[in-house]
Amino acid sequence: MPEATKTPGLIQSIFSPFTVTVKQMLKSTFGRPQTTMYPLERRELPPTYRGMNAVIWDLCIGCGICAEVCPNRCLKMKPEELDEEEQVRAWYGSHLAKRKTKPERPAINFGHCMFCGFCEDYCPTGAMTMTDFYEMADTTREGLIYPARSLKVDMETLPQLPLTNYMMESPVLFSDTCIGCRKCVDNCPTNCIIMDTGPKDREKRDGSKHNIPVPYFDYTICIGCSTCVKVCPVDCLHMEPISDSSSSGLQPAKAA
Amino acid sequence: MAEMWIHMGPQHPMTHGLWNLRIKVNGETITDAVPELGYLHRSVEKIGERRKYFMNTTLTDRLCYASAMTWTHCYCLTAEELMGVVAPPRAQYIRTVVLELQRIASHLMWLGAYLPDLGLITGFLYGMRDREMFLNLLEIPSGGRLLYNYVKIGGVKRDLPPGFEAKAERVMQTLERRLKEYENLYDNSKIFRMRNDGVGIYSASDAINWGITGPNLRSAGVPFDLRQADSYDAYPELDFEPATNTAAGGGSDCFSRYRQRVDEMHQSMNLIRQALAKMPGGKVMADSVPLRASGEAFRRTEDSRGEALMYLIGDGSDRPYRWKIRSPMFTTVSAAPHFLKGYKVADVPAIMGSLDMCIGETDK
Amino acid sequence: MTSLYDWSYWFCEAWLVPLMTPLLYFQEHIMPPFSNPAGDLARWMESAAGLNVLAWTIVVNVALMIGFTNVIIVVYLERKIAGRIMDRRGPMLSLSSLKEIASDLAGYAPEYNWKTTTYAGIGILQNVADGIKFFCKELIVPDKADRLLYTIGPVIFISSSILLLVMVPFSPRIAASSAPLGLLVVMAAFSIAPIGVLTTGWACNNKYTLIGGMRSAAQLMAYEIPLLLSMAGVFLVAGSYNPMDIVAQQQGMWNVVPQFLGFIVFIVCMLAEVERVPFDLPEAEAELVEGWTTEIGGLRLGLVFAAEYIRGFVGAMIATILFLGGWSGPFLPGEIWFLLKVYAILVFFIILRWTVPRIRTDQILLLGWKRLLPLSLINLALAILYVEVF
Repeated sequence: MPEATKTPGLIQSIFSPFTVTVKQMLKSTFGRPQTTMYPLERRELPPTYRGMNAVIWDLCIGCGICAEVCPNRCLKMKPEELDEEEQVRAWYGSHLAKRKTKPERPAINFGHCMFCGFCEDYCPTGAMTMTDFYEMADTTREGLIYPARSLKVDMETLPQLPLTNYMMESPVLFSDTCIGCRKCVDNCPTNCIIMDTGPKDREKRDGSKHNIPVPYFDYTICIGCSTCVKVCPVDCLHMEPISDSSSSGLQPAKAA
Repeated sequence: MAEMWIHMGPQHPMTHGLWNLRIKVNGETITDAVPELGYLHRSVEKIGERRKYFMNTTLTDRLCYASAMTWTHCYCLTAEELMGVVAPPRAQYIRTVVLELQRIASHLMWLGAYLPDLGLITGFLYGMRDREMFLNLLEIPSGGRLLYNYVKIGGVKRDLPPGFEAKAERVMQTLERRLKEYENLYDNSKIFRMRNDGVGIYSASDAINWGITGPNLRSAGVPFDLRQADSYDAYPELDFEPATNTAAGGGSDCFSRYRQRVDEMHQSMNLIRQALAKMPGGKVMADSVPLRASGEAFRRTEDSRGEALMYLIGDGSDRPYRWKIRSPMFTTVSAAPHFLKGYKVADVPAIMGSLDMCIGETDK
Repeated sequence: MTSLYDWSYWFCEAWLVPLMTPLLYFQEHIMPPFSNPAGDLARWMESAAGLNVLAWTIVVNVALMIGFTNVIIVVYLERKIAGRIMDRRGPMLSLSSLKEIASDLAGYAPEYNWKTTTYAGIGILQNVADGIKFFCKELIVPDKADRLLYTIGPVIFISSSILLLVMVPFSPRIAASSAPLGLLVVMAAFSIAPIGVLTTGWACNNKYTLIGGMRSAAQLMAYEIPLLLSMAGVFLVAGSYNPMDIVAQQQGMWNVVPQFLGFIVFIVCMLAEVERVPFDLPEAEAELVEGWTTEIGGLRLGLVFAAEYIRGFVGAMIATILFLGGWSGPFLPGEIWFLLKVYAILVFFIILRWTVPRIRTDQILLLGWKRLLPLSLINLALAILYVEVF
């Protein structure tokens, strides 16, 4: 606890401020002042600095989670053509033959971006990173809209990050409504859905029974992007928080 | 000269933030004052209803941009109570360390903004120079210098990197050395004391009646600190006593408010050292944080400027139904006209500056 | 060279007039009835009275040039010292970056790479840049302001301040005036400034400038009296108002030693007269934006700023002449000693400005009337005692 500050005497109170400023003046004149002579010298930045984004296309699976979590809605997924070599290297490339949709990659309008870092936090593969580049000033608003290919970086050695479900939710199926259209399988970015025989037979309109295959989810690979929920035409999927006990292997579709 | 109304208007170099103070002046003496707020209203509460729970941390950072971490922390505590999530112990200790660093940075910003109001522009640069050290320190775990987006619902974003304790210790020793030097420049300076002693006095009972909290209340001698009264995070396990100051003759004047904030800086450094020494290992984020929540929750924390309170109502979806923020500066600004009466026009910057106004949180 | 006046008299007589008069005589010769005034002018210039006037013109101009140069150096020094006190560098624009500025203005973008700029010199061109900036601004008169007084007020302030530069000598040789009532006239010119301040403050039709002008007038009036009383002690001991006599009388011992109290009072009152911190409440940024100069812009404002620094410089010159022995000192010529002493006082003023906060108006007036006035009276009494005893 501090003791009470006493009022100083007259002579001391007139002369003591000078001891601080004159000392600082001499220190700055004969030493080095605090000024960083930008742009001749720049500040040293920590590795966690949130500068301009860079997307490792080889790791990106086009799941769209970064667009979902962007608070300013300035990150949009744009369909992109990948050339031969990029298709070979891409994680997403192995499913390309079966896909009916073009792969998508993020494009950012930096006029609205506030560099909050959510896209980097929630990216399940670690493809979205933030670099330490910050000198992005431009003279027009249109100049700040960066297309998807301008954010691409290559990496010699790809970081080995496991798929992590930051959204902490996973889809759950109501199998009575499922029609087996396979739209969820076609659009899942991580290919974690497998169609298999349904839990029970269903009645057709003329009374005969048949079995419709329904999706089964591998919750260890699911990243919670809820693409399957959005594309399902009969709304038979919904997201639920994952429980503490981590599931492994393929789970049969549970009844809601 | 007759009585006239003067606007210390929205565009003014003195006002910390964007507000209008109309004072009625009789010669040089103030007879009445009416504050006008709302110029910086950004409808944060309404925008928060449109975004998911975890995305609102970007909004809370911008409530009071001088002390961003404390507001995000208050929101995260409220949301955690709403969702029934508990942050792991290491995350709680890291939160304590980072909050106290933020408190020191906020008080240094206050010092840097208060002295030019009195006429000493050198004080601005000294305050900013010291604050730079703390912003660099806070940049290391979070990546940002003013708006951090570091405290999340369920913990913190990432762990403190190795070497952080050594850097923090160096920075704190530098600050202690400089604060001791500044005593010569501020405390022992005749003109500083002339401007601050006996100016803007209110008594402790007045402060409690008007709802003033935080350093402004403790500088009147009332030892009320939410870190002790309504503890959260790692504060129950740390050795902590609220610091108080009084003016000569009871109550709180500008000098005791100045002294209170400097003492709080020393106290924060003490808390940081204790927390860094006692920090447990483990993970920094809770296992599962749900996206959807329902129910009601409210929580109050000790912000750099007083008691910050947040109230959330969830209706089962992933966005809040209602979010209410209570800021300490709103009550203080409303009470300000009472203790401006009778002083001179030249005292207005000193009094309003010594209250540490931040209009970002007042107007939301 | 015995004095600047003698040198300029010789210069006019030997070089200037013999070059100008043949043209005038020629003009008189070719157009007799119409150009007789030209011949009259030439004959007047050759006479003693004409030479006298021309010589004094040159002397006054030289004194003004010296004064203005010194004032610009003071402005530069203030900004650099302020920077170093605040642990930063101050202005850095200097000759090393002229090439870059030129290519930037001409639009040669490829040569100008912002990443390798050279705006990192010593800072002597910053004042030139500020002056050019003042030139480029528009001269506006506010809508409901009194046009005549708004124009005249700053002119009174500026002209009375520039007048001071030629009234105070730099040394026995470079002296633009040596009137027997020297310093008294200087103080009278000093005191014209409040008229300009009040006029401008009222004419701007703005509550803030009115308050600023009133405060300024109150402060200046309150501090005139201790100022003159502390000077009266020196006048008493020296026996005359002429700066030459005052410095001559300080050969043995500078006046600061027996009249230390008077020196302190004089410095404090001079700070209040030129409205520097800690006494700059009339132009306090925190409350009144800029005080009485809020509505002034463009070159008018630039000259007002210059006039404030000129008053500070002249105040330091008077302090040196009165108390610190003026231009006396060993080895070096008198001008150098004079400038060294003046700059020592000015550096003290500058450091003081960036070390202490502002004093409130009522505290300023309290200081002036209740503390400095008795001190200056005591000093006067001690001076009388000193004269009577020694």
